[in-house]
Amino acid sequence: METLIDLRSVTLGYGRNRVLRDVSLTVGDGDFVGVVGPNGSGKSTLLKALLGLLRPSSGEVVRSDRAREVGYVPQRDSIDPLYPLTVLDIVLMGLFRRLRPWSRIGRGERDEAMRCLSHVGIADLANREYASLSGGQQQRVIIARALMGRPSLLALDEPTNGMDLPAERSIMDLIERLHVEGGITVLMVSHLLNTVVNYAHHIAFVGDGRVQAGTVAEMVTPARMSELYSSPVQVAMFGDRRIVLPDRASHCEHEVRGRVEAGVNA
Amino acid sequence: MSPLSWSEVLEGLRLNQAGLLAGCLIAAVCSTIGVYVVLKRIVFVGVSLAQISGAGVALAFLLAPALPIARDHPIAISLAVTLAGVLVYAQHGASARVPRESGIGIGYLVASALTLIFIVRSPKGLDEIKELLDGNIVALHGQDLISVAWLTGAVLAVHAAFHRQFLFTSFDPEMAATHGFRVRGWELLLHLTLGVTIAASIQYAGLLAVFAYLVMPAVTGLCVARRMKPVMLVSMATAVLSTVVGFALALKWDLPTSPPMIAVMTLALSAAWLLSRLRRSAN
Repeated sequence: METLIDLRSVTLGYGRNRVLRDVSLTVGDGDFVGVVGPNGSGKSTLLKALLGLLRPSSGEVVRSDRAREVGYVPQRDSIDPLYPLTVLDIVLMGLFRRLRPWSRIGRGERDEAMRCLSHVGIADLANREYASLSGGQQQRVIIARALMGRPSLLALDEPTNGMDLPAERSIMDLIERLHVEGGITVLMVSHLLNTVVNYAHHIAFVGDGRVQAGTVAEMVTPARMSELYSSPVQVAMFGDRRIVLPDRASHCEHEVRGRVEAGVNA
Repeated sequence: MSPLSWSEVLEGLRLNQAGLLAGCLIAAVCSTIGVYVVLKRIVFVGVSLAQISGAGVALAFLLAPALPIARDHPIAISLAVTLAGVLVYAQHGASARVPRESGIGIGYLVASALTLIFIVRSPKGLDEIKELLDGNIVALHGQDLISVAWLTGAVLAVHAAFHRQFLFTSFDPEMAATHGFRVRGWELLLHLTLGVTIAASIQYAGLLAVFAYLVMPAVTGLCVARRMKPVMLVSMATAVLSTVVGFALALKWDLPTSPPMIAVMTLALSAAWLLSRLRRSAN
């Protein structure tokens, strides 16, 4: 598998604030990498470094030419609904880097935008105002925009944030379809561990200023998850789906033992 | 003093063609940039830059006896001071401890205080405060019109050429950055065009009118139109129409030009707001 992005012992942060230290991570062509971890752990910081938006304060980031053809899907909240834009206007933004000053958007560009909208199943919404759409529809618009220019890498930041269960499932199935049928490498940041472990091939777990990465089979085991979350965790299979759960029995036992010991010491 | 008849007003408009045309050009360019000012939620940057530009004009009044360039081209001094303000405001995010709004507010206060000091110390004195606030567009000459036309033409040309870059980097800076756009650079250019526009406009149209042009027509456009181009066209049309009607009303009742223009913009904005409410309730 060709390497698209290779982080070699990088330290990441903003100004003097170091968020992540000694990070080594490889993203291969055709891979599906899930970046998971608690809120505020530095997942988006890691994504920015992978995309070249954040320079590491030490270490090296090596990106192949194919890794520069990125379709980026930012968090939906970062998009301001005040702007008077239709769905088609937003999707066409994916082509702006190709257009010269003064040039007009032609029929070819519009057709490509409509193709991307069809690909994500919302061609009928092309002339609707972005602000009037539901969360799931808005997410599809942003994914369609990322598909303009046929990227080799799709980077998504919390794509299912704030969605109900059917919408979340529908967006994840769409991402999987783009990955499997379109051959697009996927790099997805999410705090929803149970969602990511059922779609990704590799997991990068971000926490305590560090990143630990491996295949899903290597990373999603009770021992590894308990160590990463510093709390007893069970991994169950439900049909062909993995579910990561807090181990309540062990957790209660752990807590009671702690209280008893505290009482004895008091 | 009795008001002029409408035929006298028309004659007055004909005689003041240069001022009216300059006012329309200033209205057009301010209302175009104003759409970004409103969408990017930087209205107070606009107010503060207008005040900083006003301080630049006041500084030119103060320096006029000793410095020929300040006497002959006060706009040059105003432009230099405004661009310095733009560069300071473009450094947002430099400090996590001081919110950006506070910096803008401090800039506004310092500029207001300096304006007063410069004017009190200048040879002409407090009458200039009135002129600075109201502008004196009626007194414009052909040469002034040419200066305004060059500056506004240049700013409008930059916006026509790079409207996609301005839109993309304002709407979704992160995505634009992944596509290779230099977001900080485009933001700085947008602010520079704002600074140049304000500095070029303020000594002719006055603080009040320039600030009104930056905000009110854009909000009117956003109330009635649903795409960027129509919003800009409605914004521009509102500003130009308000200038012509306000100019006529100012001549008729012998008023400063800014208040009647702002009154017309207020009426247009009220009508647009009502229309948007009716449209929403119909849906």
